[in-house]
Amino acid sequence: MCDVVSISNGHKKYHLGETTVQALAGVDLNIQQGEFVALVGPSGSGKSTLLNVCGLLDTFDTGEYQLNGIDVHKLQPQQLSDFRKDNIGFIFQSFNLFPVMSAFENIEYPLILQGIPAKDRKRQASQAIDDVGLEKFAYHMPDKLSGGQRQRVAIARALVKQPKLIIADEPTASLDTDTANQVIDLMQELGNKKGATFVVATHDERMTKRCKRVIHLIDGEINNEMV
Amino acid sequence: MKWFKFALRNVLRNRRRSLVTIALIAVGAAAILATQGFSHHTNKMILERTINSTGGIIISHADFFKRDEEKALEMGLSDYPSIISSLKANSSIKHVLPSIHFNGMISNGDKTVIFYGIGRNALYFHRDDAEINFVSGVPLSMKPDPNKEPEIILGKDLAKSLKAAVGDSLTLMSTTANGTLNAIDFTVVGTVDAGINQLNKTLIYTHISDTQELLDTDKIHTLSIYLHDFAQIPILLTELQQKRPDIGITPWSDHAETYNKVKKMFGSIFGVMGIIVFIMVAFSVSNTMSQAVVERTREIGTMGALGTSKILIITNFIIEALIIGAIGVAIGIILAFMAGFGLEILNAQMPPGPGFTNPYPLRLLISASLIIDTLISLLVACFLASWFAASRGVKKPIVEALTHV
Repeated sequence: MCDVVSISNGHKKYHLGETTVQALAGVDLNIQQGEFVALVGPSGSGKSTLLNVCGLLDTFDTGEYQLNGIDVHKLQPQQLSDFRKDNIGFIFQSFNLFPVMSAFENIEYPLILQGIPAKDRKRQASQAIDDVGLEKFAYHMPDKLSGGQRQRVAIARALVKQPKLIIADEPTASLDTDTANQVIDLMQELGNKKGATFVVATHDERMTKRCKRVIHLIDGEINNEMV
Repeated sequence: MKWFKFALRNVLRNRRRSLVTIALIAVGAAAILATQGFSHHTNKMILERTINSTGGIIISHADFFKRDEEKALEMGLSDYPSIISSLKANSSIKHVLPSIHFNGMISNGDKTVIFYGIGRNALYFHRDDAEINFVSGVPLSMKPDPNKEPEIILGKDLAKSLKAAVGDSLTLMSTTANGTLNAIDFTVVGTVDAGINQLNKTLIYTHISDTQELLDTDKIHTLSIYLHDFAQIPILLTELQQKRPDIGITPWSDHAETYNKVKKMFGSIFGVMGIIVFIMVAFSVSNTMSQAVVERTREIGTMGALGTSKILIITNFIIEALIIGAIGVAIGIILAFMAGFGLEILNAQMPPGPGFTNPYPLRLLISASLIIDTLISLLVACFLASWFAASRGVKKPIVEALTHV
């Protein structure tokens, strides 16, 4: 298996007023294709920063990052945006669905950005909504869906373009236990089926218990790994 | 189409705010259309009246409009019959009428006052579209009786000053082309309201032939060309100027002082008003879109995370602003037409301008080009305002935008 994520000696500092916070202090990380990896750690441990860097929403101050074999730390902002469009899916804690779009349109959105022709787009979005079991809710607006249904739509939106990497930030934090378990099942099932790589930042034990690889971060460093 | 649909849904998302902005744009658009429509109507009315009075093209001695004459008809045209003959074949021409501008003294025997006279062909008064406001009497006769005194028409205030009525005899005195004094008795056949106070106190009309006799000349000052269609004026003007570079051939607009002043005045007043409305709309739309951008910061972050380009995010906000602008202008157009219709029904009149005697109709001339200009200018305001607001919104880093509360 080849590495999808390959990070070497990643450093990141933040400036909060006159205080400098070392968010990441020499992180080395390799994640292979199809892995389902959890990033855990207390608040301020750097897991969100590492997740943002992995998702190309942020950059290291120093260090190297190869995503799917490409030196992404050398890319310009617009190139990073284009790279995310084609290669990375996102799942957020608050779902972050677009409220003026139906479930189907939310799922279709990444394909519109990729310029996929309408006919293919409809077919792929229909398949994605079937995969998450929401075909009956395709034309419901997000405010007419439950939390679990919204997160399923978000998962379908993340997977529809068949990205190399899926970044999930506390995807089960806003869900009850049953729903959280269903969402985890769905993510793992679809991840396996599509061969997608998941990097999940979480505090949720329900999630970490189900992950084959759990990375603990403390003070911006990888403290230990459980496989 | 997809982006338009999403933008429309976003417009409907905060209906109250969108409605307030649409209402403001509608009022602004209606204000521009009503004021510009009024200006266009008034300009058109003055233009038509001016051309009706002076003719579309005026032929004169090359220096007639450039300097004052030291002697009467010093800068007159003597070969005018041949010019008239040469123009007769042109089918776009309705009439070619001569005139002489002169002055002197007019007396009723007891009182003598100065006059400003225009010697005219009687046809000037008998044209189908002649707009001469007779207070009393009739126009100059087409075939005056040679055995009777020559005919004269007086400005209404001049008639009042001389206590002259139709049928009364008055004496005109003026300097001839040779510089000697001449006097002829005229009979009043009518009085007119020239529409301008100062003119009503001094104006007289006489037959061109009687004027030539009074001034002892066979010349005239100007030939006025009246055309069937105003649009033909520039074409014929160029043609005549090329044919006769030796004489003065000028368009009506060169001598339409009132028209030019009114047009300039309206242009200044309503131009400033248009700029104010433009700024008002721009600020309103900017405020609306700024609020939308702040409220949707997390959405902007999500769009950015999914790989939406900044330009596309900004374009979405611009489409929303253009939808709001287009709806606002459409309502504004309806309001302006309703206002115009109301003024028509009420037969609303504007009071006479300074120095003028008659009120004039308050009407709105809302042309297609005016609508298009208004639409474009207000949409440009919406575009700029939304671009400015959205540009600031997309500058926020995605990570910050995603955690915005």
